[in-house]
Amino acid sequence: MRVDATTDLALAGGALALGAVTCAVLARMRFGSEEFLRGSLRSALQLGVLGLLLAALLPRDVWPWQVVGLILLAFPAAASTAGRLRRRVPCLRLLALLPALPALPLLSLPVLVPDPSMLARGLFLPLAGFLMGTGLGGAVAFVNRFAALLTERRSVVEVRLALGAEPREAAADLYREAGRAALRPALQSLAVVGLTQTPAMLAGVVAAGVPPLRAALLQFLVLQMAVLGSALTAWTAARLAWDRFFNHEFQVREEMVVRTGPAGSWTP
Amino acid sequence: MTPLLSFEGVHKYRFFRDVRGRIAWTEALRDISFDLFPGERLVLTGPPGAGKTTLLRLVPRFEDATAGRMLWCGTDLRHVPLAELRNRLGYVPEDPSLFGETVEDNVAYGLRLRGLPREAARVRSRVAVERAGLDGFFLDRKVASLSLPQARRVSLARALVVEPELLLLDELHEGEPGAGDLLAGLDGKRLTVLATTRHPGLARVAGDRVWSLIDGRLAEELAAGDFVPDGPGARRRRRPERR
Repeated sequence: MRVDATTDLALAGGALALGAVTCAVLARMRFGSEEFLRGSLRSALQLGVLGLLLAALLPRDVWPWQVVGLILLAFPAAASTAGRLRRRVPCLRLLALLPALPALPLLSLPVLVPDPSMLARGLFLPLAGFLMGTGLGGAVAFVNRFAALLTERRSVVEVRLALGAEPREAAADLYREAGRAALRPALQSLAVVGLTQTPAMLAGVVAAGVPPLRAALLQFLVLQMAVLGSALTAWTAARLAWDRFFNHEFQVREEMVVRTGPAGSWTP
Repeated sequence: MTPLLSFEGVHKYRFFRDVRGRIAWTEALRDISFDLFPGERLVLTGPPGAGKTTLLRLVPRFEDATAGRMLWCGTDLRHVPLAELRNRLGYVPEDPSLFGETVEDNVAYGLRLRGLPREAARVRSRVAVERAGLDGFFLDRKVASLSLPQARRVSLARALVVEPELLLLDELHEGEPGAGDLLAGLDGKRLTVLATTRHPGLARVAGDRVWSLIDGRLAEELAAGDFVPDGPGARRRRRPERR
């Protein structure tokens, strides 16, 4: 117990010391130390809550508790994502269902990895959290990127509409580009992992005593899940959001493309 | 003779949030009324922000009027099926708005949507490009390699290729070779044109009738043309055609 407490204190102290150094460097270079402090405070609080949640749930070897944990994890993610998207896609309550999608690939884990030791319940909730974070980021990236592209290339879309295209044809390239933007973080992490970046999860699993090669394979599986989760979420967000960008008269909804500044205008 | 397009007391309001976040509004178009007969060229001229583009955008229904009526061949524009309406219009925006890789991607786009085979679409695209004042070999040129005047002509060819009944031309430009001639060159097809420009001189050359639009209101008829809408061949021009 004494060893555990000492280790915890050392970890917290180390993080604080590194944070102080980073803050000093950022302040010296005027790179935005306030933002770093705010981010650090938030992450400390969020991770603290997550740690407490996991500590409470993991010892319970009953699956409903794992589901409760998943819901508790999903709730803030859903609220945050829905809030970010609602600015772009108002009145779309179905967006609240999005957090369920990135975690779907997780269901394949028992099939793909039949070894029960790999499926220790300690892995399930953090994995779900990671997948939800990546996937929901993809949904937000899709909607924001699509709105930005539609604002930027509205004239092109309208030219196509004038030539007789339907909105889906007129904005097909924007749709694809926004989809690629949504998947980019997941794909990039797939490309650079192991070369320029050693993922924290890999380090954590190795630290927990799993053989490094097996940890690497698990990491690869998780990254594939992240890409699949992102793709599912972005695709669903696209389907849900599509009708919000065009009305049934094939007109671009102005309030969706011009959101800020005194020049922004719309027709009620 | 029924006008091809009529505006009857059209108003267009725009709503926006001011710097304090309060909702405010402005009247972009005020009580616009005019008739446009088949074969006629009406050019609207006015300073930037006068409402020229807004007026033009109402016709293909990119936006709807807030009040008043717009008639297409005597039928309320809102009751004309959208696909039918847009199939009968050619729209050339101020910014050429080219897409894809080559000129052909742009010019043949409307034809491909109408299900024309690739070869037939290419032949018609070549004719349209030549009609817009470019050589036929431009079809294979990359969009990125075009100058702005060339891009504008490609944009015009893209609208012409679908043989519209009404051509909507946003912002004719002075100083570009043949901007006025371009309209003159379309004479043979008896195309109806609704165009806008900032330059009254160019408007007088290009239009049968020229109206000035100021603060969203049709202010004054700068040149009442002698266009006679009845019957083919009845058309006379006030000025000799420039080629």
